[in-house]
Amino acid sequence: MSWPGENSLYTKISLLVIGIAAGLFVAAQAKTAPTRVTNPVSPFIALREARKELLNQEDALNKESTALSEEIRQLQNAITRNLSLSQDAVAFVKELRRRTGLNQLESDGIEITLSDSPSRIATPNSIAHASDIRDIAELAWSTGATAIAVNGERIVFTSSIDSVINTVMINNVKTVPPFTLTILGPTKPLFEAFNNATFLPNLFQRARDENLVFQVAVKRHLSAPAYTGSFTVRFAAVEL
Amino acid sequence: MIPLKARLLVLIPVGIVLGFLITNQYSSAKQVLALRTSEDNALYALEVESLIGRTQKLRAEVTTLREKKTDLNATKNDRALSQVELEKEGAALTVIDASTRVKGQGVRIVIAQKLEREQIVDLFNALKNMGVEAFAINANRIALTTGIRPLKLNVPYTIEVIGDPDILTNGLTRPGGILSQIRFEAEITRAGLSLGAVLR
Repeated sequence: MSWPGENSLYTKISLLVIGIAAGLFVAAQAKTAPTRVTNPVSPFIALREARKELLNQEDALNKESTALSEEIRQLQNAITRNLSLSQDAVAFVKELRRRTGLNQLESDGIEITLSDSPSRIATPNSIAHASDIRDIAELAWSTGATAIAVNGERIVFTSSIDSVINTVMINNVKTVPPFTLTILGPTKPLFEAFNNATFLPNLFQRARDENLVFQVAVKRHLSAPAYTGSFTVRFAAVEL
Repeated sequence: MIPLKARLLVLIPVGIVLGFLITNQYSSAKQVLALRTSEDNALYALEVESLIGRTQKLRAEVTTLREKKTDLNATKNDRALSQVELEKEGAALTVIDASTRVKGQGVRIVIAQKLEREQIVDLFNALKNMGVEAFAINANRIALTTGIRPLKLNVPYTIEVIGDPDILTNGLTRPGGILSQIRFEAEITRAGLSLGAVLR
């Protein structure tokens, strides 16, 4: 089928002009950066990409920090092996390393298992929180604990125990339930304290009513691993 | 009449364009569906905010560790420098161990209302998250093994904290920070502080 004037020069020029105009319009649209966010999905995708990128950066920085801490520890150990140094000072530093959590410790103690309720739909009362771990640690220190580790991560003076969405962050390491708290120290007072509902009423109530997992056991020859980070002191100075 | 060959030549690009549009629509629909069905979407913003803070902190930590490693490497085979590094490590660890009197810049926090023990635990935890180096509450120096229960604490609470004053002030006062979480007003002042050793 054809239309009148199909092959006329006027028609051909008109089509050419329309084609060029359409091409220019499409090209201009493609090249122009939008000045407003009009696609409702874009911010979410950008956020998700940012999260992915930041997680990669965090992972790389954590690895570098751990490697540097290990190298520093080896260099510091080499210094304390130097026999020409004051042996009193060496012994003093070694004792401080032990007390601050830089060495692995072994002794009797208790082991606490804390976890989300296996039989309930997740609610604030049926899941284990970072604040529960903080409360347990506080009771343990108050009862004479000498070392605490949570899922293999040693608690030191600078450790904060924080909730990050659905994970718990300790010493820049993410961990998830079940939480195993290794508590070194006098077994009898510790066991009694953690079996006394008046000391941790909220935890005991949630264990009873919401099936939150909270179990305490005395253990022999427990081991609290060494802290793998290092301490940086920039603002505080010893006052003589 | 348009010849068959010409019609086919027109149909091919039309088909390609249509195919592209269908694929694009399918992919967009999948993205929207993923966003609608994922439970984590509402938490992305929070997580990204937390990640930015954590990576900044880690970057600063890595820079300090690199400097420390360089200093330690310089002490190799030098007895005098090794002795200095040993003393530096000992001094830093006595600060962390709270076994010596310390001085330094930081902030003083005064809270005039009664705090529950759990609120004090959360406040101390937040201070540690902000990189505190030494702190005390009502003149009781806090060490790693200090429990709150044995402390006799009366209102008002004066918490003296040695650490980066900017980080501490911002961390304590920002909306959603620890003080707004435990719903207490506090008077925060930057100060040069002197803290006693822990009583053992």
